[in-house]
Amino acid sequence: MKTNRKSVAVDYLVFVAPVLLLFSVFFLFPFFMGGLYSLTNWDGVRPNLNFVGFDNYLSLLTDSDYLSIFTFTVGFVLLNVLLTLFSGFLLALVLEQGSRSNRVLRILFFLPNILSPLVAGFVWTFMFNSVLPNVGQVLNWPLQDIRLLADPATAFGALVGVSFWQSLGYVMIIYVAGLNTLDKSVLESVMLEGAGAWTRIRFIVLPLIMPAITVNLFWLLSQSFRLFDLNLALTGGGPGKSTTAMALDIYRDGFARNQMGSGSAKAMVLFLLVFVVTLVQLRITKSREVSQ
Amino acid sequence: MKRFVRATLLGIAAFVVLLPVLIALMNSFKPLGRILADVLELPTSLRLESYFHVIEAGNYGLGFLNTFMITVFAVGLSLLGAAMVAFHLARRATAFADGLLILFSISMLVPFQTIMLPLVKVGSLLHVTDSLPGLILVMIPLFSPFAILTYHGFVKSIPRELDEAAEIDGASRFRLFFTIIAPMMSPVTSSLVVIYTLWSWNDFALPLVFLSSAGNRTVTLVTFVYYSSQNMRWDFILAALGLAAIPVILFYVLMQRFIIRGVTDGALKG
Repeated sequence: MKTNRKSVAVDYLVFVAPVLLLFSVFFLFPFFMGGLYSLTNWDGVRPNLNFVGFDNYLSLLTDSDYLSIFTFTVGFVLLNVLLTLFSGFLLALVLEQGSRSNRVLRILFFLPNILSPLVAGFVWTFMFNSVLPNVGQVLNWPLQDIRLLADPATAFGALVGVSFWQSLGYVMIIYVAGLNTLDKSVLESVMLEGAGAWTRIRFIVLPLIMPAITVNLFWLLSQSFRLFDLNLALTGGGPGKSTTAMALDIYRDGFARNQMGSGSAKAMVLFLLVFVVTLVQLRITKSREVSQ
Repeated sequence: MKRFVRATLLGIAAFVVLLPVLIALMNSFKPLGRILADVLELPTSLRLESYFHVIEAGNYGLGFLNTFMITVFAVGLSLLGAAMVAFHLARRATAFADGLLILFSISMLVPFQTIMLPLVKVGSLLHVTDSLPGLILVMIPLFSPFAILTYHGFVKSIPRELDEAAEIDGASRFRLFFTIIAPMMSPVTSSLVVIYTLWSWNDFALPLVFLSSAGNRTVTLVTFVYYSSQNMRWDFILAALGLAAIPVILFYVLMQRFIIRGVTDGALKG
């Protein structure tokens, strides 16, 4: 095949340039501008701005609001990831076989995942604020005064719960695909040698479905750190700022509080956090993948 | 017996999972008085008054039209662009081509909120904010990377001899792509189309910060704005949520095979 320089350039121009141009203008450029803004005290509106070095980053360290937002986000991520990763696996073990009823159940469990988190958040707000008290009233159970979204601790639980409700089906589907690739004869032979259920799962199933765990952990981590739509819909970050996650806080800095500088610094912190955590996770779980 | 118990328990679990959606939909057909009196009471008729009211008051007609146009163009152009990029990068396989592929992959690790604030500034500088074509232009680079990776893996499995045979016959790379490679990609494309349609239809953060005038709102934005404007009018709110959710649920029911296949293929092969 003749590949002279000119035809290579033409091919790049035809095949790659259109997407790459848009990618540069609407992704790479904003990304670097964000890094630049984070070093200024710009309010995002007026034309005057000063470079302040790393002041925005340093002041985050002593900003008690930000520290609680950071702690909330990390807590949400940890709880949500562990809960879903574990429960999804159990559900997948139960629904693994390809019988007709299992297929229908898998489709039902996956359904919450296709709703937009915004709509899911509003539906659950109705459940928490209206359905629960009403059911209490009608059945005369003491549920009337429970306002799950009005208390920081239960609002946190509600966010984890709804997020769990939306992610469980996804995680389960990935595990089922992983389990289906298992060589069943291996399991049968260790069963014949008298291995119990736990031994089989711990030493045979888990190592062999590590690719599915890698995918699920990666997906759950990136989803949880990006909590935004659901946050806005379900709690609006409240009561107070108690359930504000990092992404919502960045949005408010930029569009409600006119703090482009500090909002951009927070945006970079969020990026670094997601980037480092997911890369470390990929390294760890990938290294444990074994080939069958 | 054991099987029966297991099936019953799972059936109950699945019902509980669907319960919030079912209760919300059920109450969307009831007048406010009946919702407040007893949320668990079944509606006596398929009462659509709240729906008619909300379609009018929330401007859902325009919302659906906007979302539909955005979805058709954003999904179509993203996948076309991604397929072309993937084909070229997979066939070049030079350090530069691999570097670009890594760049696209890394971009998927960047949360949208990291670029959100400057993206809006860049958009208004280029006069593309608050316009649907502008929104589509911004969606393409955000949507493409996942499809680029998926297509890239697929193109590597297509033998190069095919390219060479086409070139000996005098076909340009452009023609080779459109007449031979793109049709071969269609199984991947069909999965990506359904997944991307869902992404685009449910997209909220980008339209929220990028579109401002009422005439440009998408379904999620219309729902957000309408919900925020109503206080305790659950009859209207639930109809609004129904309008937002029912098309997605119908799409899921029709396409679930593709959606579930697309999710697992993309995830486990990527």
